[in-house]
Amino acid sequence: MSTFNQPRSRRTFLRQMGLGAAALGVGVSVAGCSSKGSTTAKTGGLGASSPVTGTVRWAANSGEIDPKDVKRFEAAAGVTLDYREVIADADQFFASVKPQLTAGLSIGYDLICLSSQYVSVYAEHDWLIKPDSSALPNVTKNLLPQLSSVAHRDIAIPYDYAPLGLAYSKKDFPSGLHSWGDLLSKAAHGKVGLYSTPIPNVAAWGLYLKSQGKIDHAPAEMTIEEALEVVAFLKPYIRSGQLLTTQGENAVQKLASGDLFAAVAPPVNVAEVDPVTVGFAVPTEGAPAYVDRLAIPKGAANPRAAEALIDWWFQPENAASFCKYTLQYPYARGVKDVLAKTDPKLADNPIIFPGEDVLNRLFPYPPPWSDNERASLSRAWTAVISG
Amino acid sequence: MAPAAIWLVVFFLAPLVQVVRLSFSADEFGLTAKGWSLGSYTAALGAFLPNLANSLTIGLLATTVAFLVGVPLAYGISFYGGRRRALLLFLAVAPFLTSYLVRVISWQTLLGASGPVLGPLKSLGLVGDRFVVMGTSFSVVAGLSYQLIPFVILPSYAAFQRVDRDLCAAAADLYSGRWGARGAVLGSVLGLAVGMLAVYTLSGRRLDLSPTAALALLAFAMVGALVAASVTESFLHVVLPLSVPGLTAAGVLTFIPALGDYVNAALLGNVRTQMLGNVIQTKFLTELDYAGAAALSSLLLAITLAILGLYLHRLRGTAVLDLV
Repeated sequence: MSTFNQPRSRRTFLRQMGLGAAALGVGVSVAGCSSKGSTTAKTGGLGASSPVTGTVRWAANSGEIDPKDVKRFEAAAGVTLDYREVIADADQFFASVKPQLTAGLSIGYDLICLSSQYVSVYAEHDWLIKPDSSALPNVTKNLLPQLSSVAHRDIAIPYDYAPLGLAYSKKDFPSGLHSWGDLLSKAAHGKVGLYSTPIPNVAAWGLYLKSQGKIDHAPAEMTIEEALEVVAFLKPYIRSGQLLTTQGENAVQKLASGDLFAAVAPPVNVAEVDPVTVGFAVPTEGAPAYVDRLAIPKGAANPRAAEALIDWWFQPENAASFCKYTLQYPYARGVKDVLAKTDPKLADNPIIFPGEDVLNRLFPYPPPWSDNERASLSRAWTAVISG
Repeated sequence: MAPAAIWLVVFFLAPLVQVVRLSFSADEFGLTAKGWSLGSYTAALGAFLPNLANSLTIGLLATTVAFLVGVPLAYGISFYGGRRRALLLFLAVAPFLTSYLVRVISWQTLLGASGPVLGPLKSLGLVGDRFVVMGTSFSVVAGLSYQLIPFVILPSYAAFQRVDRDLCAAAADLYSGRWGARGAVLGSVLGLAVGMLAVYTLSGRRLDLSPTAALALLAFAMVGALVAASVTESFLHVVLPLSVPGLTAAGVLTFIPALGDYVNAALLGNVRTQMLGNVIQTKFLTELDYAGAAALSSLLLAITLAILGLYLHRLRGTAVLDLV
């Protein structure tokens, strides 16, 4: 009788399970001891004189770039672009890469889109490679002045930039929306969608509470106690169903269909729908503006190619293509001039090119806080949205 | 057997041990498995019992609805499908070849304020302009039931197919009647039980004593009585007993995923319909409270195993393993 045909007893099976578990434990221990250095994140090694070749792997937000621009970059730089829209949610992406970065391992990408709220976290944990400024001449020349002074600008290049304002149904708010407080009216009960993650909501409603004199600081200087106060303020409105939290990214589609009357959203979502039915407003109290970044994570296999890709996006015609495709605010000089020739209607669109009065009402996101402070805020938010 | 044992150790036992170990972590912010503490469990039980209750009630109601739709469908295809059985079975489960997420989002369109259901009703003035179905327990149960139906149809169909047709022919001679009055009594009790579960769940786990709720309970009881009374004796005495393993398997295959689901509650529900799965997702991905997420997961696993054990013990369903 062959080995595989012998009758098995329960004792034999359990013995084999135990041997398997022991083998697994030994294997994991040996692997842990011997391979610690083999996939450890590499540091440095950049320089403008190094040739740019190979493939650059880019973890991007959903709908980040026009697919045609992938080919244009590859033709211009002679580098293959492995473009992956793997970031549907900043919190979830961070949760997925944090264990590897904490362990000093590569996350498998050369370039990542970094959400505003996480820039300081990555920077302070030393999870990013500082690009060589000599390899970024277009960034140096064309980055907008107002973005040049953001924190960690040298290690995470400012890029994707827009406010989180109020998208609203013009049928249900014919005279428009002017204040965050308008969302708390009885007429809007159960028809207002908040952003799904805590930080943007804390920033937005923090501006409202500051205007009411209930907290002292704008989002960028907000203390963790003030942030928790904002969550406490929102709690009864969320629990009563006045404000809805579980809307996902298709909140603006729900505006068009009548399921919502208003939603916290960036202008890019509004610009995708019929302007006759859906409007966009930056409230009088102000709105938080995210400044997402392009950053090279530790362990990147081809950081030189990542630098080339970053710099390519700061050529005015490429920045204009980004702006035209994503309908975000321009982040580089010369974009409006390029669009005036290629898409004059967009160049005159106030949603994408707002006036000074709107720009003056935009505020950066809250400060990074410590790991424990962020955890306590998340915990408070979970308790509120879990019913 | 050794490769199977290793497979089980690597892909089942090791991750399970890791999760359970993490659930007992004394790390204050639950990021690593350090020390030993019951803190995550006490915090979970203190704060998230309503979410557990949502998982149990919504899961049970969705499973029940899936059975009420899926079992008659499976029976009809098996006994009356003829040569087109395979095609009918394929047509019944074909929608489920699409992405799970797409199917859930399609319910958003279906139940939307101006969607194909409410839009015409509002145009005709049959419901008010502010009437909504999205964001209620109803939409969560509807979406979840829809996702569970193929898990009822397939094992039920397999069970019905295994019933010897000669026995059915003999039963047709022996048993010519219907369940009648006795069936009506039992059916009304079952209908009432289902009605109470539905009213309790759909009213947000409140004891709704309104006239509407009372009428709904009466309707459930009457429908239950009518359906049970009309069940044939041959089905009752022959087909049903022989199909119990398959139906038990269907119950297991639907209730377990229903308990752990979070997508339907996230996209179709509101803050009051959040299930334990939603909390686990938030704790793991937003809060980064791995210990808390592990504690809730372990709790859900323990409750699921307890319910499953009781269910299989009561039904003596060891034969279900042939069909699962």
